[in-house]
Amino acid sequence: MTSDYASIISQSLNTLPVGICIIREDHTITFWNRTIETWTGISQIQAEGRVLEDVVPVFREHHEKSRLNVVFKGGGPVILSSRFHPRIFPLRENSQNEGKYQRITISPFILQDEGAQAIITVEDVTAITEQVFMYRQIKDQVAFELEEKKITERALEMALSKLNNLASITRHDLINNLTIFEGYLSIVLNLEPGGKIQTYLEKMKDTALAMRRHITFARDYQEMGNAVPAWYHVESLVKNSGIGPTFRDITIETNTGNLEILADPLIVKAVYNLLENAVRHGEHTTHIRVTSVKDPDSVTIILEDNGVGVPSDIKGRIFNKGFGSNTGLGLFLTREILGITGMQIIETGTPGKGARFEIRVPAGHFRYPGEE
Amino acid sequence: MEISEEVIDGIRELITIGVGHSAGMINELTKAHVTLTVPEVRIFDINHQTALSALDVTDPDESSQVILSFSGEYTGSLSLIIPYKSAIHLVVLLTGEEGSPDEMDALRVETLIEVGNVVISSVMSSFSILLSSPLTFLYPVYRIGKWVENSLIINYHPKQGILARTKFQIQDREIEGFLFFSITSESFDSMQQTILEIMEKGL
Repeated sequence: MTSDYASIISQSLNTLPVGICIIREDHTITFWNRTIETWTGISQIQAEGRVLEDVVPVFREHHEKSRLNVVFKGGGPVILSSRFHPRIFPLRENSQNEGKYQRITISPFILQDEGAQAIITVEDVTAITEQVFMYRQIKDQVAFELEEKKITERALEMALSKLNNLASITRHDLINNLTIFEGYLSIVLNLEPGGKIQTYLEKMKDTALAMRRHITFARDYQEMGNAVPAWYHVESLVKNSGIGPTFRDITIETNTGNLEILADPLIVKAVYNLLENAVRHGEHTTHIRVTSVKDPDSVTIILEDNGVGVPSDIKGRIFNKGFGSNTGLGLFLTREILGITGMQIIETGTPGKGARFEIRVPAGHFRYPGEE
Repeated sequence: MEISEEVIDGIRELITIGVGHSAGMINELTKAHVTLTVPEVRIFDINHQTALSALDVTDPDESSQVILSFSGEYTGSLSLIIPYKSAIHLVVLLTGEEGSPDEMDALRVETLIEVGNVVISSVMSSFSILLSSPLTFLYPVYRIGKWVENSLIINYHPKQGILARTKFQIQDREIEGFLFFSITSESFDSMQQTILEIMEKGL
C-alpha cells in the first residue's frame, strides 16, 4: 500500500462514527481511530504500537482471546454481541459505562507486505438496545393487561349469568303471584262492593296492571344486547309488525327496497312500538309511511303518519324513561334497542300534521344485498 | 457425483471438530452447559429437492438462518439453520431470559448471530487446514424465511451441498438445527482432493 493511499484510508476511517482498531496477528495495534479515541479517552499515540490486551484488558480473558484467535485461524469474522459483551472497550469515565452497550465485529484481512491483520469495529448500540428493552416492557404490559381483561371478562360473564338467572326466576315468581292477586281482585270486583271500596279495588287493579308492565319491561330490557346482532330486511320487519287488530284500519306503505340493517333481535319490538305509537297517539291516524334516504355514509329510515303529531312542548322528552300517557317505556325502549347497533332516532314531525321519526343507521350497519 | 467414503468421513470429522470447539466457546460465553452434536452429515448435488431430501428435512416458511459467505480457494456459504420458534427457545435458554417470548427482536437476533457465528467460525477454522491461502469473508448475516431458497439466491452458483444435522442440548432441552455448506463444484473438487492427499500422507 502506498503511503498516500494509506493516508486516505486512515483519514476516512477517522471520520467514521464507529470505533475502529486494527491489529496485526501478534495483536499489536496498528491503527486506532478518532471515534474510539474520543470514547475511550485513550489517544492514538497511547494505543498504537501496544498490544491489544494491554489497552483493552477484556481480550486477556479466555473466551475473548479464543474468539480473536479464530479470526487469525481462518474462521472468518467474529461478532461479539452486546448481550454477552455489553462493554468491551471501556469508556473514558467509569461513570459513563453504566447502561452503555457496544457491538463488536472483528474481521480478518491481508495487507501486502504486512501479513494478516484484523479490523475491530465498535458500534454504540445503546439507543437501539434501550428501545428494544422498552418495546419488550410495553409488550409484556399489554400481554398482562390483556390477560387481566380476559379474567375480568370471564368474571363479568359469570356475574351477568347469575344476575340473569336471578332476575328471570324472580320475574317468573312475581308474575305467578300477580296473576293470583289479579284473579282474587277480579272476583272481588265482580261482587260489585260499590262505594269507596269499589274505587280502591279498581285503583288496585290499575296498579297491578302497571306492575305487570314493569315486569314485562324488565324482561325486554334484560334481553337487550344479549343476542348477537343480525341483519334484518326493513320492509319485512314493518310488514310483519303491522299485523293485527290495532292496524286493521291503517294503511302501511313501505318503500325501502332491499335495505337491510344490522340490529339486535329486539328490533321487531322497536318497530312494533313505533307503529303502535302512531296509531295509539295519532288519534285519527289512517296512514303510516316508511321510506329511506341514503347519505354518503349513512342511511336514514323515515317513519311518518298522518295523525295529530307530537306537540312541540313534549318533543324533547318523548324518549325519556317514564314519559308518556301509556307505560312510558315504549319509545325509551325503542331508542335503547336501536342504540345497541349504533342507530339514532329523533322526532321531526310537525304538530297537527303527523309524527315523523328519523332513524339514522351508521355506515357498516346497513346494506343493499344484490347491489354493488 | 461419486464421493468416496474417506472424503465423507473427512468432512464429517472436520465439522465435528469445529462444532466441538464451538460448544466449549458457547459454554464459556453463556455460562450454560451446552452440548453440541452432529449425528448426520450428507453431501449432495444442490437443487431444491436434493437439499430437502438429503437429511429428510423440511423447509418451513419460517426458519432463522445465520449465513457466512466466503470466497477464494473455496467459494460459497456456511449457514446455521434453526426453525424460527426453536431459535427463539435457543436464545432464551442461552441468555436465561424470563417469560415466553414469541418473536425475534433486534437483541435476540444479535444474540443468535453471535451464537451462529461461534459455530460457523469454528467449523470454518477447522476446514482452514485444507486451505493453502486465506479466504475472504463477508460479515455473517441473519435471514428468515425458506432456508433452501435463501441459500441458493446468492451471486455465485453453488453446486455442492453438505448438510449436517446439529443438535444443541441445553438444560435437558434439545434443539435441532442444520449446518449447511453450499459451495461451487471447483471448491468441492479442491476440498476433496486435499482431504484425500492428507489421508494418503496419514495426517
